[in-house]
Amino acid sequence: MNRALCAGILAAAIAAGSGCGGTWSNEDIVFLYALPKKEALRANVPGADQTASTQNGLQSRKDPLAVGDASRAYAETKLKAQELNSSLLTILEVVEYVRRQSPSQRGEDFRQWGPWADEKDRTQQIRLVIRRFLTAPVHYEWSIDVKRRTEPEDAWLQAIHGSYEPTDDVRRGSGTFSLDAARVREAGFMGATDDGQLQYLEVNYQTGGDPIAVELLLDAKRAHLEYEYEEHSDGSGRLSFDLSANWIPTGSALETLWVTSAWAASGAGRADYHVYGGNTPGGAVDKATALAAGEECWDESFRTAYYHEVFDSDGDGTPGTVHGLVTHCAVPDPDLQ
Amino acid sequence: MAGNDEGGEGTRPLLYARDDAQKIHDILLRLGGVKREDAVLVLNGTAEDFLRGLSDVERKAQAAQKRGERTAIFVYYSGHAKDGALRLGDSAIPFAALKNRLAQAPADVRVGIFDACQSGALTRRKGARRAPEFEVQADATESAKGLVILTSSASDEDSQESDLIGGSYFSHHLASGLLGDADRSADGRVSLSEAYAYAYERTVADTSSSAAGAQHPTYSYDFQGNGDLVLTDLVDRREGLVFPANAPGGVYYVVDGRGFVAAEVWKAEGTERRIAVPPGTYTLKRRLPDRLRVGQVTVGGGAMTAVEEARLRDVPFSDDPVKGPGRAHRLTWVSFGLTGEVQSFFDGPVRENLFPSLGLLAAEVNLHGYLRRDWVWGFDIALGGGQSTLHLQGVSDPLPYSFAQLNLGSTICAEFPMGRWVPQLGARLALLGMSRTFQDPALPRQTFLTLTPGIVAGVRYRITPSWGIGVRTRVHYLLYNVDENRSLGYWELAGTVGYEL
Repeated sequence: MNRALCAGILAAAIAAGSGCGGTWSNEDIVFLYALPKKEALRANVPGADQTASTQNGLQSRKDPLAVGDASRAYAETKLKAQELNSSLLTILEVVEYVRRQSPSQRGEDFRQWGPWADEKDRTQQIRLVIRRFLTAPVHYEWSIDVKRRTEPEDAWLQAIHGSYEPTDDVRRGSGTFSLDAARVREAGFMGATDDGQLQYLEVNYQTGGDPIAVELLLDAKRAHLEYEYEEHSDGSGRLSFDLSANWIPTGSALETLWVTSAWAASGAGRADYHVYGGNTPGGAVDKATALAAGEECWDESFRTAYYHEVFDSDGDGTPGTVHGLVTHCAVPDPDLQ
Repeated sequence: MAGNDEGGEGTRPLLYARDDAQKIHDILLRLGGVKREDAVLVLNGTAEDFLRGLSDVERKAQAAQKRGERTAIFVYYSGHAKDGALRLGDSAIPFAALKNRLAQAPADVRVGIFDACQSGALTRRKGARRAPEFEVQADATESAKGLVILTSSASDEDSQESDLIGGSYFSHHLASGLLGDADRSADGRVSLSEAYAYAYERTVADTSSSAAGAQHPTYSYDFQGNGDLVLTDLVDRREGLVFPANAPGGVYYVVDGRGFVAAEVWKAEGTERRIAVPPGTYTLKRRLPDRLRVGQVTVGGGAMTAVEEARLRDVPFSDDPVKGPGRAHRLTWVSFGLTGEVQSFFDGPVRENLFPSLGLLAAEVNLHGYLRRDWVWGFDIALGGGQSTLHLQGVSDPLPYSFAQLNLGSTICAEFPMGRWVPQLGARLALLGMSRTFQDPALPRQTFLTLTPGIVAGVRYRITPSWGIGVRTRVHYLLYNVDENRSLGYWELAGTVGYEL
């Protein structure tokens, strides 16, 4: 009898000592798919990254560009894509961390990860919350919240807020997320490395159709930056970079550098740029009257096939420099697309 | 036929009472002309079960009498007796009441055989004899009628069991006798008096040097007519072993697959002996002063197999095939097993989308007789896994993933040995740990850990005394509590190979 009692006690001890439960959840997967995924938002410019780094060296070349040289425009495009990816990765760092974790709280239409201590400042806590709204249109709202460890629960501040509306497949849809940096800074959560420039950041994306599109808007104290990226299922794509800043400090108006690259599925592509607005000499107010403009086409091996550059400081319609034939451009002028 | 290892308060559990009853039951069905539907076997039952079985037999006998048939009721009991009563667990049947019941039973012949301590109290009254044999006055013109009671020991003696033979001395020799060794007349039939005389002689001889002292079977009878009843008929069923006249004389032990002595044969020089053991493979042993003669023999169905001395070999005493002495001191022993299992949840959608079916390999160690006799306390570890796909609502493509499962379990089973077959039934508690890794690297690895209670049923088959195989099924309850609280059930089917130390 005592032995039977031993068996019972052992069973009870096992039952008491084992933490039952876990993370085996199908619903968690659905919620995770509502978060932006860095791979889905990543700008993919043809060619290996190694090619880009090689090409980056061309930025410092002062030699005149000739047809057949490694394309500088392609290298710039690759660089801008990497900048966009890097920016998104920084913003999505917390989201990527959450992907490797299990929710700490679950509800029928609710998941929460954290709170956990901010590794950069252990006095702060971070959490990520997703809520699902099943009334049409079905959508998800999510936020990355911060607060100080000693603050009460109602002190959570939404640092990043996002929303997502899936298509029939929850893995694809349209979404947006934003960081009101000025407000977060005011609350004292931007961290020691903050240079105080960033005011607002917003990312809009749609992965539910063809092309996939990502837009990054960034407002800093003395600049405004926009990235627009599109990727077609056949591998062709387009990347726009629009930077407004006060480069010519003769006035407070912002000058604009506008660059658009487009490429075909083969890898061949082109880039067009314009500098205008602000205090540009000659009163260039738009692309048509740009102070400087250029277009460069590259072939499938990312070498220059056509090059045309104009620097019209007095607005007299200077013809500029031309190398190669425009007919060698595999992609038409993106303004015409 | 009834056997009960338990005798309630003030008694120590017996080891072989149930086996004895099973053995006698099987012999009477195979060789005694008893139809299966006319026999009742009560193992570890209560007094109520015993009396209900007796009533059942009485009803059948009464019906047969009404049809004009000759009837006989044969009652056999192996178990405890104390303070003037048979003790079946915590229940009891007073000797007087039982004897009275048998005396009035509606049958021409009533035979009661009681293998129990102090069972001689049943025969202590009128007609009781503590004698090597009895002779019923034969009157061939009149059929036998009356009551015979045989007991395994006198009213002041204990009935002893032996681990060497895997049963009580009396029942063992009674069984050997019924199998043919008691057939003194060599007419191919074993009568009640022959069986008693044989069992008496062998029981007294075997127990005379035991620590508990000699055990003397007794008998009483109140008979009319030709009372020498034939209990087993070896002529109709020519099946078993034949020891030719030219085989050396001596005691042959017929050892079964479990290592127990299934029968003994006392063979005199120049005489032929027959023993009607059931089909199977046996080890024969004959003891010489300085060594053993050992060999294997297979008895086929419906055939007599001759024992050939040339097929026996010399082995030292240390290689005695009889395992009994070893087991005698090991009422608790250990076995190991390797198992291949299949696990599946009952609910289809759960199988499809939550916990897929899988195969497991397991190892187990079992403690036999540790908690109580015929109970097994086992511990097992199982590992399995596979590949599957998850079909999520709102996700157009299935999500491939690999999964693994680790089980740690403990089982307590009651076993019901029936010769080489050992059915088992019990309960199990397992700690179930599962993990799954999706092919999509963006998804985290998921785990689940839970305790699951369940029930177990299965059967083992002893191929040899050490090796056995078996099949087993388990049904478990699982509480899934991640997305929601949900009660689930799953089953496991396993094939095992076991080795007993």
